[in-house]
Amino acid sequence: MGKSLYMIVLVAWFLVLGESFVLFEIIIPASPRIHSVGALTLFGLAKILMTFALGVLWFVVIGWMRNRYVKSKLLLDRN
Amino acid sequence: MELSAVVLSTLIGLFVPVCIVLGTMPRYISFLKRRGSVVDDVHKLEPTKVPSPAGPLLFFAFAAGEITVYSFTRSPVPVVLLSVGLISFLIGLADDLFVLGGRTKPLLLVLGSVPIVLAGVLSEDVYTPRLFFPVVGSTGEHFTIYTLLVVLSIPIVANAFNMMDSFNGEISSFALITSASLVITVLIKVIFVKGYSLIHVAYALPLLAVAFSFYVYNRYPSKIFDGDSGSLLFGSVFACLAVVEGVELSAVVSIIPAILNSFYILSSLRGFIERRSVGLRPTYLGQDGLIYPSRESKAPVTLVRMILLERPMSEKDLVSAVARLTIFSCVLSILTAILTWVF
Repeated sequence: MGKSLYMIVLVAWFLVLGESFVLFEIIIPASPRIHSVGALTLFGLAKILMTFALGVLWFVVIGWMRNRYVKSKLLLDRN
Repeated sequence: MELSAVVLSTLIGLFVPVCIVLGTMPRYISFLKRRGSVVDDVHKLEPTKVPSPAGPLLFFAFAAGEITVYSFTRSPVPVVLLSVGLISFLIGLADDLFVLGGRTKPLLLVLGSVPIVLAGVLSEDVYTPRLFFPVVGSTGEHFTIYTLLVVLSIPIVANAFNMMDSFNGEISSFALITSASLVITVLIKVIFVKGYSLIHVAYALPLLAVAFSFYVYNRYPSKIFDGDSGSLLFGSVFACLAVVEGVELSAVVSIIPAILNSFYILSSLRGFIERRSVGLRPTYLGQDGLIYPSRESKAPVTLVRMILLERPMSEKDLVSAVARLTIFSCVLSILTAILTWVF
């Protein structure tokens, strides 16, 4: 097994730590708290949007690495 | 509680499940064969039937281990672990016997989180709603978000374990490596965090004991399969342990291969689909006995298919490759624990 899959695990490790840190230390504690102002306020929606963006970031990075890996292996196979 | 009693409960919690699984598995295998409870081992050239499910025996051994720990400690934690394990085991058993739908199983598994949340509300000793990060330390308490994540964690982790259950010895080696890593993580916390008792290791040992002794019978060539009752038990108890031990981040890191695998499967299938109803298979068995990756672009992308894109492998080599990747993620998990609890 080559190094590429280990690299994907390593990137996933950074993302797990980094994204949970941003969620728990930056987005959630940002004042005012969502349950005091409500989710349907500008600030509440911004917090939800930022949380959603973290999910999208995971999806994009991990998905991109998978696609690159699969394409490179299939191309090698054809050559 | 005296140190000698803690050490004794830790040792007994380890040995009771090992003795039960190793001592009774041969008879249990004969019992399943007599009942005709066997399934096809699809990755063999010769038609091969393997007894399944081992889940009931694995749950019995796990329960015996946690009851032993409870009898020494009188702590609510073994009761919570046992309840979570029981609910997931029963859902898995229902799937083994009647085949639940692709979406029904994850939805039912949400029930597995009820004992943790209930215990968390009733007692402050079960878990604290905060995360501990490497170097920077603890976050503040976020009860609502944390509880929501606990509720989601049981179905997500149990399903991730379930999706790692396709080849001889794959799930048992995965459960063995990740639960050993969890025990090491808890040990690091015990050593470096003041007031964090050794008894926390005892809570985690029955899972490690069951995974180890099951591996003896499930490794290539498998003498028995665990069924969904076994894999969901492993996954849900692992998730519950991560919460009650307060080692969530390290635990998540150790199962990154399973998380990637389920993410790849769900994104390529675009949702929860029962595995028996997936049309295109991600891999196929060649005439030479090696396993090949599917060349169909619409076939699900699984971790195993990605590994096989390097080269076709025998089933034994393939499971070893998955185990090596799991060991790598567990090294990162232990590194995370060291950065969290030592510095």
